[in-house]
Amino acid sequence: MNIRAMALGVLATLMATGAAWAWEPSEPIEVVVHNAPGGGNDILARALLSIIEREKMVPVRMQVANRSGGGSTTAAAYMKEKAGNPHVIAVFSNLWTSSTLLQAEATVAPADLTPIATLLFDPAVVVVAKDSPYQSLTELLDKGKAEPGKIKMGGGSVSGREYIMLQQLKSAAGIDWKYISFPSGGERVAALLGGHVDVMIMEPAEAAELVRGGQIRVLAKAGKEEIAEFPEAKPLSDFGIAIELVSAARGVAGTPDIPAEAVDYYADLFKRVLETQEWKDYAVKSMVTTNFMGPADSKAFLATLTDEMRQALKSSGIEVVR
Amino acid sequence: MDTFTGLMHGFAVALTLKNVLFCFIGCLLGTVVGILPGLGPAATIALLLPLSFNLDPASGIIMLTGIYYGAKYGGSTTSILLNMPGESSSVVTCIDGYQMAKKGRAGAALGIAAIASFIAGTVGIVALTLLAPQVARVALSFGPPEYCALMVLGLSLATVLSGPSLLKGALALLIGLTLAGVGTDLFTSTSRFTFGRPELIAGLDFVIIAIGIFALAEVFANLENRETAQLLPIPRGFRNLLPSWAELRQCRFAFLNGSVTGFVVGVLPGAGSAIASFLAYGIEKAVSKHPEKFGTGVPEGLAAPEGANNADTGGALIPLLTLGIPGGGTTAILLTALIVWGVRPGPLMMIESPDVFWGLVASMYLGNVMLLLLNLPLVPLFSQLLRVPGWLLGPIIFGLATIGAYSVAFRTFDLWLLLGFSLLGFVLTKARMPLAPLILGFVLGDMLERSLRQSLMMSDGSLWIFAERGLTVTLLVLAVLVLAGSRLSSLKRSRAAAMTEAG
Repeated sequence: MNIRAMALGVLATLMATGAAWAWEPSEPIEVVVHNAPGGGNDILARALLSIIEREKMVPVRMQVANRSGGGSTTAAAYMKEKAGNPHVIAVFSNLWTSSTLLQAEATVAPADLTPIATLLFDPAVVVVAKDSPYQSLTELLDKGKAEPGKIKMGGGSVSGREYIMLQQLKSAAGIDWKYISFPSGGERVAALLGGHVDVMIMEPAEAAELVRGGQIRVLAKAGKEEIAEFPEAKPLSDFGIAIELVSAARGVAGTPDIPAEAVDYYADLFKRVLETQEWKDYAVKSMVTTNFMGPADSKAFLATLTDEMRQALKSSGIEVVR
Repeated sequence: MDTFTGLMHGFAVALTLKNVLFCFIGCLLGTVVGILPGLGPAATIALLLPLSFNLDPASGIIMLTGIYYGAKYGGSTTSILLNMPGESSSVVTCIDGYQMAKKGRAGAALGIAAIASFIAGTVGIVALTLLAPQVARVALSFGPPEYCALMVLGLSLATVLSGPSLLKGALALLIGLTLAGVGTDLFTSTSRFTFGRPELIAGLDFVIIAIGIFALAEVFANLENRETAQLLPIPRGFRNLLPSWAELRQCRFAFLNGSVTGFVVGVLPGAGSAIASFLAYGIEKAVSKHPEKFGTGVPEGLAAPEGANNADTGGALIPLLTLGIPGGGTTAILLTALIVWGVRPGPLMMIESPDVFWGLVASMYLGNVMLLLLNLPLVPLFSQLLRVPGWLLGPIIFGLATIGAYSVAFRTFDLWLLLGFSLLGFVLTKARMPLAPLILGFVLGDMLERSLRQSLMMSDGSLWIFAERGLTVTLLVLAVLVLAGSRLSSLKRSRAAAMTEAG
């Protein structure tokens, strides 16, 4: 065989492999979440993985790795440890960003990792107890402006979305509700139903059950997206609140310093997952709003989110460490 | 459907061969998990969740709940035999349980624990069956000021737990309260006492403190007395293997106390079963005719907290099933399981899913009987554990403790913490400081601080909020009575001692 034919043959082979997917996973993929089994991101991760497995979208096995501890700190630190490894990805949520603002020990934010995609937003609704003396949001907003600190809002810690939203309401519209933290969902709801706090901001999934049982009423929704379970809920703009409240987003990120082809691979993968009928059913059942953003948009979104959160926390007097 | 019909329907569901089997599996797993220190019912239920999704809702929840209350039975075993609490709720059992074992009455102690658990567990379920909606309403009326007053009542019981020196008891309490402060502040997200270590952001884990201070400190103390060949006397003769009728009669009030206290505290979301057992123990000691004997191995001191941590299960299920509100970590996971199965806990659950609701309630009656039958015959078997010679038992305890501490979060940092706390416990024991107030302080500290600050937030900084609410005032008055009562009785005793000396 002459040299020229061989060279052409080699060149042709190289071009052919170049034309195929530049990167594909070759080992089992770990999907890191910051909760214990049964927690929010854990359930989401498992739902995503079950869709991927059923549709055989990936040539290797994918597994959830629970790395709970210190909110998102342990999971984020683990991701940093695995820098450069494209077979480890994480499901992140707003907590990953707020932890880094509030805690000196939380050094790794989703922006420090490699954002791959944002998948969904958790909508929020404003609720009161069924037998509360306040039955209209207008009344609560007016009282919030006229009598600072009289209306009490219950929620989680100051790293949670409800607190940030309340601070935004205060800065932009002068609504001065008092915020009382409760560590667990059970205690929060009990406080609302028992009349110890007047109002809460909740996710529709949590609220739906309580509304069905006739224990609470939904007064409004915090965003503009349609919430299928509460079609009559009016957006806050109807009540004179013009600002965009911070969104609770969940997405996927890779470890730092992974090749761009790997990022593209994952982004494309999750885009296809969100287009399946199975996902659409899941989104309806869990009452989340699907909203896909690719790597560049996610990075921009996270930067804006960090600034908004920092601003809101600082203006309320909470010490921000970075 | 009304209660009686519902319950009959429930028994029809629970007594099928399949569900009896799942109930048994759950109870057995729960007992084993309860015995092993570190691994708790919450983690076990979480691990089994994916597997149980293949079952139908009634069978699945019967099994998972079996793990929940089964663990309360198993937790007392290592508490009594090794001074190592298997669960956070079994810590109080160590106090008198281990002392009874030291006196050679290990079998009796284990038996009393099982019987108290059975009686209180059953009372808890009966109360759940008959009173669920009413009790749920009362639970909702507990706001931050009421929780704070309840914690103050709990703290006042520390005086009861201090033994001879009130000063040492107060010091131990303060150490416990300080340890509770380690971690992240809920209201401002500031890190406290974390020394920059991310492992401490979530605070100290109760299991590690309890195992270190109780079990390992005891092992170190025993190392000092090398002469003793075994750590505990083996119960000899059949009479020592089970409680005597006299002892059971002595515990009459304790059974009632454990049942009621455990149930009432269990209903309150956020108040854990450790609080229930401490309260029951404190109440038992406060009303006893011989309070100074508590801590030396009295049966009532064992029966009251053991019963309380079982009745607590029945109480904790009420807000979960009737309102959909999980009271703590384990009930939160049970809630997740129910939701995944499509059962919606809440006021409508009884109507929409009577199979699951009443099937679960009926299976708990069955489960308690199963657990009693499972645990009582095992008492002589477990007592034989004491035959193991001291030089072998010590390392075994050490090994179990290490595995238990590691299983909490799978990191070696916790093992260093365990070592630190065992040294602390050793030092405190040498200084003759009572350990119970320390654990009490740690258990109550979190909720005490939180509810106090929540109350002050609600009232804009005014302390009058504690005087304006009826329930709060009642609890605070009780606390004052407990404090006054213990001072009075110690005064009476010293006066009586003085008189006998003079006369």
